[in-house]
Amino acid sequence: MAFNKTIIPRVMASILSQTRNVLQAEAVLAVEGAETFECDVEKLQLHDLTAIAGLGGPISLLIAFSFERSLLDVIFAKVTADIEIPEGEKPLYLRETAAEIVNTILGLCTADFQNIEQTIALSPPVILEDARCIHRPRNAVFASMRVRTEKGVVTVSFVGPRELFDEYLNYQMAG
Amino acid sequence: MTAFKVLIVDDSLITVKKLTALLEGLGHRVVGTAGTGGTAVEAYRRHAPDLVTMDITMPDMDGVEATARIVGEFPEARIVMVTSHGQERMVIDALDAGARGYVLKPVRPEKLAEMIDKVMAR
Repeated sequence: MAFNKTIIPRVMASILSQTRNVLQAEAVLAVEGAETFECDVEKLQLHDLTAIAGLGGPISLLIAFSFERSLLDVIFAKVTADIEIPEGEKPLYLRETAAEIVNTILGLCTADFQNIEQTIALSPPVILEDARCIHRPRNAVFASMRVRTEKGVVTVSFVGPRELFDEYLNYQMAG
Repeated sequence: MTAFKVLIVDDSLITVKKLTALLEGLGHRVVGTAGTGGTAVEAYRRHAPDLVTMDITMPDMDGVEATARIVGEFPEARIVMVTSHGQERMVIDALDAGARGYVLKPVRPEKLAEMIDKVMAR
C-alpha cells in the first residue's frame, strides 16, 4: 500500500495519546498541551537528543522525538530510579532512556492501527545527538507536533514517505 | 517457589536491567542476555534456560522470528514475549511462532509473576 499523507493526523493523535499515557506511567509527568503543524512544514529542527523510529506498512513514516534536555533528565531519573547505573555510563543510559520511551510509545500506537489489513512494523529506535535542521525535499512530506510538559518539550517530527530517508533522516536520492 | 533459569532477549539495556531486577526479586536467576534475535538462538543453546523473555522489536532479527527458530530447534522451549507492541496481530504471530504468552511493557511485577506461573505450570 502506498504512502498516503492523510494518515498523518491520525498518527499524530495516536502518538499524543500514548505519549500522555507513557509519560504519566513511566515518569509521573503530565502533558500540559500540544500544538500540531500538519503537512505544511518546510523544515524540521532537531534539538538536544532525538530518537528516531520507523512505522512501516501503510503508515510509512519515520518519526523523530526530539527531547529538551530538561525533560529527558526528569524521565531518565524516574526510569532508572530502581537500577544501578555504572559510573561514567550516564550518557549511554540517557540515550537508552530516550530509545526505550519512544519504543514504548510507538509500540503502543501500533494497536491503534491494527484494523488496517497489514501489520505495522516498528523499527528499533536510533539516536541522534546533534542539533540539525532538515529541509524538506520536494517529494517528501513533513509534519510536526510540540508536546509540552511541566518539565520541558518533546517535538515529534513526521517524515514520509519513509523510503526517501535512511534511519538517521538523511535524504536518499532516488535511483 | 521454584527458581527458574531465565534468558532475557532485549536490545534495551534499561529493560534488561529492569527485568533482571524483577526476575531476581521473584527468586529466579538470569543466566544470560542477548540483544538481538540472531544472538538469542545461540544464547539459548549455550545456557539451556527454563524460560526466555523475548522482545519483539530488535535489530537484525525480530523476536517473532527468533522465537520460531528457538522453538524449531527446541520444541519444549518456554518463551514469554515482553513487548510494547500493541498490535494484536503481532502478538498472535509470536504465539503462532511458539511463544507461550506475553506481557506488555511497562512490565509490572505481579503481571510477570502471574505469566511465569502460567507458562511454567504447563
